Amino acid sequence: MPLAGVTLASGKRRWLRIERAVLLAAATLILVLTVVALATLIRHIIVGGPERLGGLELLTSSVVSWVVNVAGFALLFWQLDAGGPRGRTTGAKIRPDWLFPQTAPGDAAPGWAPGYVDYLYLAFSTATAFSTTDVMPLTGRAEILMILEASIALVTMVIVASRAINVLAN
Amino acid sequence: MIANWHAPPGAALPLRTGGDGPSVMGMSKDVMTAPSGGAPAPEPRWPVALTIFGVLIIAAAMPDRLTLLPPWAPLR
Repeated sequence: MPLAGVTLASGKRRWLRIERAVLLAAATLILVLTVVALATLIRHIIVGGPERLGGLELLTSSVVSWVVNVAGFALLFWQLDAGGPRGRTTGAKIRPDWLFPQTAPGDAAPGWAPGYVDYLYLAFSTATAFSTTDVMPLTGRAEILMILEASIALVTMVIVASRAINVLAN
Repeated sequence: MIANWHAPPGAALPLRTGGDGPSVMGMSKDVMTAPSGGAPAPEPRWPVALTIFGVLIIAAAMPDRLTLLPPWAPLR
């Protein structure tokens, strides 16, 4: 709804504010639920539960956790960096949270600003490599967010997915 | 000392040169923001909508959607 509102209203401020609030709240809620679900899965693996989880259930749960992790953090990065889409489009002088290689001296494209796909790539590479790749965090909150994302991805891959593969192999 | 293979000895490193505005990592923020003038076009939202749609499709297609269940729901 807010995305359609921004598109149809040609980026009216009111719709941009609504979009920012809704997406930040949704991304935070989704990520909190993912962490809780991941903790539940790990507890189930270690302690056990009323029913034993199969390998396929563990594998699919880890895939969904990983995908939701990437998508949620991509939304957060996109909305937080340099005032969000509105701040970047209007050229507001807000300190950016990430330094993209496109803005490096010598390679800077005049008027270039990162878009959603750039943040999706940032979230994907952080969850895949568990570290920074070519985009550097500049602020503390960016570093904390990247630590959180890499930690969730690491736990998902190392504990849940590996356990699922182990169960499936046996 | 950071090696700079493209610059002669003694030359300033590119990261240390900046513009007139306040700098981030030695680089002028002037080059990092869109030029003002006129109403800026909003960033296209279809990649965002496509991502959300894709996540929902993946979550719905999985045999056991544990991660989308509330924490108090019993595990199946």
